[in-house]
Amino acid sequence: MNRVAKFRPTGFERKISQWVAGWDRIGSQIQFHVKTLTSIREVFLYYRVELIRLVAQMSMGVGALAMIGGTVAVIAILTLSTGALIAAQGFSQLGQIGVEALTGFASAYFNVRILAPLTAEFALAATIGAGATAQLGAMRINEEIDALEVIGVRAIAYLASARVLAGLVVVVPFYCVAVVMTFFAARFGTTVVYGQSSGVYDHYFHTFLSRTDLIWSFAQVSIASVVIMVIHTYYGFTASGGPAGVGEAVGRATRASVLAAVLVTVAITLAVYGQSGNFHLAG
Amino acid sequence: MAIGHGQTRVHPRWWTLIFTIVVIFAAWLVGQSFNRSFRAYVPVTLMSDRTGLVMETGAKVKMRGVQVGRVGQISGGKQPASLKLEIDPDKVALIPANVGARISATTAFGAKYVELVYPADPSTKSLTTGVVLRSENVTTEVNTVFQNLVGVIRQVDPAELNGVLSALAEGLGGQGARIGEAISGANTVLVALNARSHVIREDWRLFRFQSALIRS
Repeated sequence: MNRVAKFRPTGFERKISQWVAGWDRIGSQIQFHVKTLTSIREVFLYYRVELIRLVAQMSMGVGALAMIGGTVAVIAILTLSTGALIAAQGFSQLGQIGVEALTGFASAYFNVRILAPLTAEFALAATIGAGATAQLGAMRINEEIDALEVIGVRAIAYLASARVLAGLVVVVPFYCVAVVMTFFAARFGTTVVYGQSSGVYDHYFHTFLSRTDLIWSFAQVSIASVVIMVIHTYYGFTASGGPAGVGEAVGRATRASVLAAVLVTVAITLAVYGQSGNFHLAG
Repeated sequence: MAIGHGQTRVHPRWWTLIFTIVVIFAAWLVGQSFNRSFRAYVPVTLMSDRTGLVMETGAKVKMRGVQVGRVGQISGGKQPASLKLEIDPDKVALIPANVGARISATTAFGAKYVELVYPADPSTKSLTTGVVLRSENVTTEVNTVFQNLVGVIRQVDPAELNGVLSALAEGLGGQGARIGEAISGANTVLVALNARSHVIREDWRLFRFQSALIRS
């Protein structure tokens, strides 16, 4: 009796073992991510057709989603609204100190540096990312992934790496749509709705629109898309507990990937732009 | 295990450790590039009597209105203060070694920046690492101006000054033409006197001589 009592873990020991288990779980997740990224080579070697199929599926959507344009429509609508906000807030707030002419500057500056990338990343996580988790989770609980492994398919490369790569491929045209939409909405709101002269708007917009910033924002979104897809495929791949477990995995994946995407965006923004605005405001 | 067989050579525990180290390294990298620590620059020292208020690290170094670098470090307290300037390597070839410097402000209350003044006789050598420049001056601080102004106002009662100025203004109002005439007339008189200044001086000399004679 005494011996048994001796081996019963105390509260502190239980906490430690939970902590170690959590640490190991993170480790296996990182291991999966690394495996996913290093298996991208195998996608090019063996699973090119699957890659193209995934790109088509992600970009325009299949089935019911294709009716409304899939992710493109979601991203376009989200970024239209952020661009319109720039016009609505920027024009009236800047107008209070008499510099509403700088609304074009606000559009060129804030849209490129933070609004368009973040909005596009959220849209990506919510549509393509969550979709990938749901697909892979369903395959996992139906033991389809095990079946793939049994017939000799490299499951991580075929399912996870291919989705990461497809996400990276489709994010570039998506982000183009996002940027064009924010610019269009901000310009439309300022010049048509508020009636600012389009010459004034275009002058300040083009003066402050930096091509380097635009290229960096593409890099930002591309890196974030890889992070998002890597996280979403992991949660789908390791889903368990039936259909409810798949739903839970989608929720966890979206939470983790949105957090990671924001952190990546903040880190890149801080590192690339630093303290300088890359423009000279004389005065 | 989702990873499959034969791939668990490294225990997950190590992966977490590696990940933690990578994240810390990335955070450090971000912090360093935020502060522009990786940017190449040519260090130049600027000596000045004082740096001026609102001179901060990261302030611009300009030449003819174009930014050519930034202020890296300011060490003062003792006289004279010294500023470490970090000049962009691609612009350093265009700056002669004997360039002048001046600490100016963008506006009366604005932040200070270092202005490099192109010399009248530029030397053939361009600015190199470790060159020490001397600041010609620092802009007068706006608070010094106000301080002096307050001193003046303490001595002169502004209400009285206002009264005097108003009375003067009232008296002079509408008299412009006559004042002009008077000045022209005075000018004519002075011109006439100027021509005779030789004679006047002679008269004064004789007058002094006479009075000395009388006294004796």
